[in-house]
Amino acid sequence: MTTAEAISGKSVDTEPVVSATGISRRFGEADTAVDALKDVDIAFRSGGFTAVMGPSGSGKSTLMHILAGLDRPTAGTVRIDGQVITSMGDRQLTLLRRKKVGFVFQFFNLLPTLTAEENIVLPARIGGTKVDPAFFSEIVEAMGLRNRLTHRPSQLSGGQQQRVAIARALITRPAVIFADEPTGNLDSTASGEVLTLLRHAVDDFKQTIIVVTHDAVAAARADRIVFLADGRIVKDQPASSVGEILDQMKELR
Amino acid sequence: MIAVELKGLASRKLRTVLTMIAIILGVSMISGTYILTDTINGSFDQIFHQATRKIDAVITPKPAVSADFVGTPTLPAGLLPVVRGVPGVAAADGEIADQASLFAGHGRMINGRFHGHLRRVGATGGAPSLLFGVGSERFNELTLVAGHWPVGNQVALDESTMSRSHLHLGQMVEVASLARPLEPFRIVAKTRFGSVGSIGGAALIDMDLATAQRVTGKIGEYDQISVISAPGTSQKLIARRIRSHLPAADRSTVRVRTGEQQAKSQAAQVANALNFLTIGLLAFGGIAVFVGAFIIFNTFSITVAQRAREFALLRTLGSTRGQIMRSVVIEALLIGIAASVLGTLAGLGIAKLLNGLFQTFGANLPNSGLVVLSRTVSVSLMVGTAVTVISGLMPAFRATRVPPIAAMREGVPLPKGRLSRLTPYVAGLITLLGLLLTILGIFASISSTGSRLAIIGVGCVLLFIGVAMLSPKLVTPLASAFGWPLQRATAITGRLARDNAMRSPSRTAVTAAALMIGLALVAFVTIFAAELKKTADDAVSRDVAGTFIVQNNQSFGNSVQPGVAAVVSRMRGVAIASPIRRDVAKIRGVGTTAIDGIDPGVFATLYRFQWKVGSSRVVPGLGSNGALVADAYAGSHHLHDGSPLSMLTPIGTRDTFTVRGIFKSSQILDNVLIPNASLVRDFHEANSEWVVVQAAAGVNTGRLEHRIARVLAASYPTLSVNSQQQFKSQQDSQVNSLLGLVYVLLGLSIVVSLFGIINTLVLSIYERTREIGMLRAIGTTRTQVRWMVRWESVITSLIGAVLGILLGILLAVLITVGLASQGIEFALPIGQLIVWVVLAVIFGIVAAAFPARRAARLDVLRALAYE
Repeated sequence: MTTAEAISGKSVDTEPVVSATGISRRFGEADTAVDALKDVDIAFRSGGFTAVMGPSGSGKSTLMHILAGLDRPTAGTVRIDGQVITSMGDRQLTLLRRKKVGFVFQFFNLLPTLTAEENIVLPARIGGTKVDPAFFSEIVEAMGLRNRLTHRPSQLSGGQQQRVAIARALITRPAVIFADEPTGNLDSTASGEVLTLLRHAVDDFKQTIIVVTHDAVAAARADRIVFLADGRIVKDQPASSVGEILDQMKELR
Repeated sequence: MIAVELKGLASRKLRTVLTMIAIILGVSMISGTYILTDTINGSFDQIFHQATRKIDAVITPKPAVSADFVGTPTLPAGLLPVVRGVPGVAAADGEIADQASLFAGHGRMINGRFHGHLRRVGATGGAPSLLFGVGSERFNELTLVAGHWPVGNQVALDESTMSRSHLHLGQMVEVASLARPLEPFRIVAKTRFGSVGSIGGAALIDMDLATAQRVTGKIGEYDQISVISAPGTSQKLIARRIRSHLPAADRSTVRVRTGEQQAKSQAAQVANALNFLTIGLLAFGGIAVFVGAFIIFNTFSITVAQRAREFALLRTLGSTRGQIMRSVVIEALLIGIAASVLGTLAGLGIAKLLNGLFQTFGANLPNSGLVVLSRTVSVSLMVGTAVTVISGLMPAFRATRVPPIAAMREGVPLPKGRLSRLTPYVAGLITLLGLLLTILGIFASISSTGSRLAIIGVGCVLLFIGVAMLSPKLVTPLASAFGWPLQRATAITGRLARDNAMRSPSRTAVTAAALMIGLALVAFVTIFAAELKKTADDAVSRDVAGTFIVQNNQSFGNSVQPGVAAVVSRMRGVAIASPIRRDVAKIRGVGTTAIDGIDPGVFATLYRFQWKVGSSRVVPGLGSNGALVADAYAGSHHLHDGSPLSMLTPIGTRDTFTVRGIFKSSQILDNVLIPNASLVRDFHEANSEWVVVQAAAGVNTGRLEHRIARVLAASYPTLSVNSQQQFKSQQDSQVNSLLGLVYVLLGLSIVVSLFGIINTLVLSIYERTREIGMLRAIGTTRTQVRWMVRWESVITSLIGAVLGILLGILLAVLITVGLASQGIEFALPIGQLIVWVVLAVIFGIVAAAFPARRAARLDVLRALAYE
């Protein structure tokens, strides 16, 4: 754990890195109102790899958006790294995301005009901070992007683009990385690579990663699987096999 | 089909509105110009008809030669009995109609002279005060509202002038005519002009005929003789009879018209003078429409690219290429019609604005009730619609090139046309052709100024189009260069802005080109004005040796009264005061030209001319029929020492002068100089353009200037005494006020290009929604997003500004070389051009305000989900 402390720069204690208490989210008004989340409590320890699963419309994406500070709950409190984010203004929230949160998206969302290297260091550039060259090197090696740094996204395969996106999420050593269907737009080989790298980020870089997915293969790589249905957490369990997960998903549908 | 297009437009409201504004502005300028000039024409028409309502025939002098800058001759009073003797003439009388200045003030009379502070009253803006003297009330178009008709040193004033200037009956005012010093008058009556009320902003001063003749220096002369015929004698008949009864000597110098002809001819004269204004203003409207065309083209190109999938889908569903083409063209047609209608209506407002603009720049044009002719509506609608449709044709054609397969895949780029590889060559050819036409227009010997300007105009249009077509190639290096400091100065926003500007070079290029056109013209007039000022200033320093120049600063065309030189020369401390008189003559075998009068005896002391033939020593010996000519003029008309100049003067005198010397062309004086005495003898020219004063040796010039100024203020308040430096700044300020007017009018085109940048940014941001969502998610603040958009706008503006200024310099150099023979000197006002670049940066930031706000306000989640 000493390496983890050194790398992630966080003290390891019982305090969860991300926690939500009593969060609800209602879309629309009156007759057409839809409750996407209903009084959800959840916490994530530092250094864990959690998969959030559930059928479409279960509220898993909404949960992730709220935990990441991209959306606000109708009720309830979210803390990231000890700070209550649900009362923050847009600017504070933006600065918090810049420092404490990393993102990996389904459609990679790289800037087409920047090279792979520039895309990786983008969050640091936005914050106007210097990137530690040794750490950059370490991440690039780990993601296997050494020979791809000068390429632009259009010259990279889907898997390579997603690896750039993961490197971009790691570069600021955030408190937590949220990945939204990171394998949703990849073939099985590339998916496998990406999942291995996410696992690697947790094991070797002691990152906290929360993945929203409906891919059982992806979920099977996690330490903990949270099932959502109809806006509520219906199951919260440790690692599982692909078969078991698929069965559970069937039950929920 | 149209219903579908209307729905499409409604769903893209913002873009439709922004596109329409680009056309509305240009069209409104065209419509506004027509409305304004038609209104002014209409008002004058009314005034002239009013003025000749009671009159059957009018006799006026017919100048043998005429020009804008000289007054018309007068009629001899001896003509009146002749006219009265014509059978069928019931009544005839002479009239005076001249200009004057009116002053009022607090003070007292000492020895019959007014002492105290005077303020100019009467006319508003730059309008003149008109001085009338009418022989009998039958001919007077003014009606009494209060008081009695003036006699001797009494005046009647129109009621609107009296209320505007807070004057009352019984009050003393001072009148300065173009001929005599200030003279006090008592207001004894209030009048009204026909049913019109007033004539523009002009003040109407009425005196009895004899006083008017004396005050205007026309004793024994009339400006006009009006005739009322006996009952049963038609206007045409009486005019013909008068004509046949005229003494043979007067037939060539006198014009007889019926009352109606007179009104028509005066109206036609005004219309003719206004024609220049109409064409000038239409040109500015045309430029704005031209700039608008670039914006329409760009918007449609971007929209077509963004709708590629939609078109592909329609193609897979069985739409033909023709149908796709038609749908885009119909969209352009609908936008064009709607924008043109709105633009035509907005012209009403523009007409009022233009009128206000001319007033602030010192020109007052009468107008009452806006006149909208069907020609105004049809031209505005046609120009706006045609330009929009033509600009949309190319993008419409590109829409047909979308392959059906694009519906299935994401991000299929529009295929390039088969001819697209030829584009650079075509662009080069157009640029070259434009440049050649411009050069041809400037340098070729074309006699008509109109066709010369037309050729230059077409050349510039082609040049702009050509450069715009070439500029996508320049966008990448330029954006890279302008973006570099931004990239260094900002954490990331400058870098992203630079990349965004370079992402679609043709889009950035066309957007910048719209601004380029406006700035090319702005840079051109900036440089040209600087050259005019420099040329004039240098000419004063180089060619004038005198200490002071006395001139009339009140308004254009006003001259210095005849007695001024004599008054000033008698003052203590003044060595010489010599006038320059100016008139016009037709020289046999050469043409009509301006003639300046000089005092040969003192010329060499007051002026430092350079001589090609002869020297300053020949000047005192000019005698009464010697002439001096400028070298460029002599060259183009094959004149040399000893050449005879047979001149016909406005009063019909013919006299021959002989060239005695050839001087280097000067901006100070005209091309042909003759002695002042000869100008008085042959031209009856009494007034002067200015008076040059030489201080006596050892006199304190500051104190002398003050003394001259005091004398002028008491007797000739329209005049001022200026040192060479002040004279230069007077000249400069005339150029500057014209420059200001041109800047304001070009501002319209720049505003149009502003909407172009806004539109392009809005459309680009729409395309990059997901990127902005990602940037916001990973910690880009709203402020940073706003700056990213602003910097992109600044880079685009700078590209337009720099290309425009370079083109402006090119045009200015060409024109300067073309006008070198007129003595125009080259100048490059670097400082002012830099100011334009700085303003372009601010312009970019302003243009980005709205798009930046939209980008910063994007909802992160929705932006990320956007596809």
